[in-house]
Amino acid sequence: MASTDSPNANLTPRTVVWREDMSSLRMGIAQADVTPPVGIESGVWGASKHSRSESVHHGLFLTAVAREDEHGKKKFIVGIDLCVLGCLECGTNLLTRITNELGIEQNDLLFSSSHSHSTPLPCIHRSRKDGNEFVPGFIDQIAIGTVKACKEAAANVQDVDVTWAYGRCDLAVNRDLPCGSQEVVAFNPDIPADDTVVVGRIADRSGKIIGTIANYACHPTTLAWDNRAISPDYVGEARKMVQAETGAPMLFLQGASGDLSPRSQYSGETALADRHGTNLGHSILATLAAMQSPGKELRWNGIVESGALLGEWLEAPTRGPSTLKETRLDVQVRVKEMKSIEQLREEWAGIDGDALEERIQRAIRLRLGYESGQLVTHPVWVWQWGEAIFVAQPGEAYSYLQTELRRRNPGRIIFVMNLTNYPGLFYLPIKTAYVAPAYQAWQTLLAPGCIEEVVEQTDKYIKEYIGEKK
Amino acid sequence: MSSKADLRPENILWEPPTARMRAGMAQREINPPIGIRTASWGAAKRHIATGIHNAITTTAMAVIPEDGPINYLVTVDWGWWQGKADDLAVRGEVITALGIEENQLMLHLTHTHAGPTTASDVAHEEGGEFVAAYHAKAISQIVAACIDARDRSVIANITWAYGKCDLAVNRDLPCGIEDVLAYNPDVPADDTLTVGRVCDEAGTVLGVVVNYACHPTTLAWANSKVSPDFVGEARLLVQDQVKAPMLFLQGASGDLSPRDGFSGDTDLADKNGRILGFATLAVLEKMLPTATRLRFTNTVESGALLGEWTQEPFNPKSSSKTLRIDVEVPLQKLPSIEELEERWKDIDAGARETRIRRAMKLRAGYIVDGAATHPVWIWMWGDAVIVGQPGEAYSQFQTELRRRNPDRVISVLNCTNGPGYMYIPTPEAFERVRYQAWQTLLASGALELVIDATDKAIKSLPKN
Repeated sequence: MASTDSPNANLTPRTVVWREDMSSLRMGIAQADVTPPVGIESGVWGASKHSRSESVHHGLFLTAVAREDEHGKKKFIVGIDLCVLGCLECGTNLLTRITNELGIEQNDLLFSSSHSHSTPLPCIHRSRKDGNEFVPGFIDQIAIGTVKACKEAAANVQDVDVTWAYGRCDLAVNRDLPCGSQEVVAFNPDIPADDTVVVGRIADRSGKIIGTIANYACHPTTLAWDNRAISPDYVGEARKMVQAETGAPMLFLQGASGDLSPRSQYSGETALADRHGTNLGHSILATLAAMQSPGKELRWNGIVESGALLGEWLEAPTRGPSTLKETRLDVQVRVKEMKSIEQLREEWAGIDGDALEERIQRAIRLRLGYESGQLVTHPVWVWQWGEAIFVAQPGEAYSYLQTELRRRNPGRIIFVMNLTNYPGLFYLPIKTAYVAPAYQAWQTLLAPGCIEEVVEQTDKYIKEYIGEKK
Repeated sequence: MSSKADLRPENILWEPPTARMRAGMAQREINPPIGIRTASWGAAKRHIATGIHNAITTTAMAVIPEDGPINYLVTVDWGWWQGKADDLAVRGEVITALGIEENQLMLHLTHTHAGPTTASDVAHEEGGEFVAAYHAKAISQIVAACIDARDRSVIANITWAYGKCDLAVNRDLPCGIEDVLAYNPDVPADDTLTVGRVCDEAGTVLGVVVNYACHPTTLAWANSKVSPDFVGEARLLVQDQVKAPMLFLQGASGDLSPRDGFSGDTDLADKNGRILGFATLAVLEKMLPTATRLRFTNTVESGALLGEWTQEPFNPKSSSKTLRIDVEVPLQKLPSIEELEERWKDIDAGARETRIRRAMKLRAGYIVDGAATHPVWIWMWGDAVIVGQPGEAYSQFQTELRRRNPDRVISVLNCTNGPGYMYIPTPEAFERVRYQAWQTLLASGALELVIDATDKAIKSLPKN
């Protein structure tokens, strides 16, 4: 109801159109239940005295999003309730099987683990404890479920309007706690944590929500050695809440959480994981609620003379860009001078036997194919889907990866994903973590400077090939 | 499980901000009759209520410190006072009925622009015939809620936290040489959300205190239903989860509003309410159980060297203090009625009349002998400070107080008690001759004086 007869009727702001970050794409989404049988070896805790799972807290799911280009070619992002893919050999085998069965290239799939520490490892080499007899079947289940969900997502592809937004969630805290000469993995009240949650809302052309994507960085380590239930940790309850509200699947993507975790963790209580999930779920729902209607922008409608001089913005139809640009960057990083397995055994000689064995097994499988001092390739996938950018890599990067990329590209919605594809499943710590020294610095195979190089190369690509938002 | 006993962080305790005091909460519905005068929008063609969207409520919190008199923090889903006479016609009656001193009560309006009129001098206007009886009913319910809160009061532990909510946007939009009240995408808005969870000693939630700054202007001239605006749906969401009253306190929102507003669609008010409601629930989920802190207890050798923080009970801070300060504030040169009529001669007659009547009522009782003081109430509850004042301060009031006092959790309230029911804008707002600058009686510099005086008062409070 603009006051067209007012002497102020011609007042107009500098910008008369405003909209959120949006994309107009062809997309589909599907979900598959991949909960393994109770009894499977589950959990990844060296401190655990019990490996056989006894119940299911929330089921394990995978969610697949397919996007189709103008030639009908499809690429997929899959998020799955797994800690990690296992060793290089098992991970590569699994991804190869999936991509072969889908008839796509390996670079056409981003397969991303949510990083719950209360799931089985799909690895026949690492899973050696009571309950491991179910692991080969679980690996099959993942492969079959992924292919099925991807095919279903591909079959569901339709024209969609996606709205992207940053929100806030304070579930995560910093977890590098100085304790004298060492750092311990525990809540550090003195360092603020990145609280960004990135949300995408996918709606069909009628405005109905057909899926959501949420990207948040926080180690799913609520549940630990005292827990005997299979669980997606906090992701389960968050997803359940959001899906109940939107009536559509939610794809969760773990962010760069190398240094982030919940404040209260290492628990045996699934109720605590649900509380954490409720925290994240409410934050995602608040972010969704703040979005404009699907496929709508705000347009200046003129001034209104009331008790004050008011201005009206009204919703009007619009479409986001459909640009698709997907690449893989091979960032060169250096392997640090690694201690031999014998040296590690000596260094850890005093600790609990199970914990020692867990660490040694991790170290042995991790270093396959890597040698001290050599330059290696750390893959980074950068996918632009309209006005959103997905940056995915296989490591456990510190949150610096996402905060720095977002700081350098302030007009851009950037999803940052850890634990995606292979190879390179190790921490990418910041330089100061090596000085501390933090756990992440002795776990990784990479020398100081690796995350900084990943940031440099990714940022350079974004600036050169994607550019600033118009 | 092995442990390195010698590994300890420098601080082995982490405590959330808290308060411990005798407290009770109660809520009453005070829906007005259909047909009552509303009169919040000059652009509306009719000023009577045709229905109720969400319930209009009053929520009272009674607080009884260890060593002082009872205090009441009371919120009402009304808009704003037009003048001192209207304010005292309600607040004065509540004070008398409760048998307390003026400074023992903070009567706060949540600032809905879709509420029943607060004016006591509109009996002759359409819908005005319902007002006196409605105000009398509301007063009795406000008093009843206060008494109920007092009678229910028990030893309570309050946990405080800051969260974030992005409902609010900046609403000072430059349009050439003039600024218009509308969403400005170029200026970020304060997104601070302050939440207090009040529990009895058994941990049962007695109520939730929520402070957020955003003009409840989703609903405007095209709406004729009575509504608390976004506050209604936010409160319903939170109360449904916690099963206890939520006391909403409007922050310093002189320059803040929802992005989507000026609407006739009550669904939009509910949508905005969900943004705040979900954000509040997220903050509540992050809180530790009541009267609980964390102690670093041990390390654990696992795949990594882990550290365990364990919850343990502790006694929250029971210190409290109440202050009232009266800040001398500069006044701008005020135009006469004739000058105002001349200024607005070209606009719609209804809008002109609304503006002039508001300007005159505002002056009465605030300006004494050509000077004015602005009252500010400052209540310290443990680690928290509640700052209430009658004006519509710009958000700089709260961002600056919080910046200067990072060791306290500060709630900042507009529209609380009186007199001084006017904008307290930034100097820039005066330079740009914004609506807020011509609505107010204050001159540029008033906000900074109020900030400095309040900050000084906060710093004089006991340290915890």
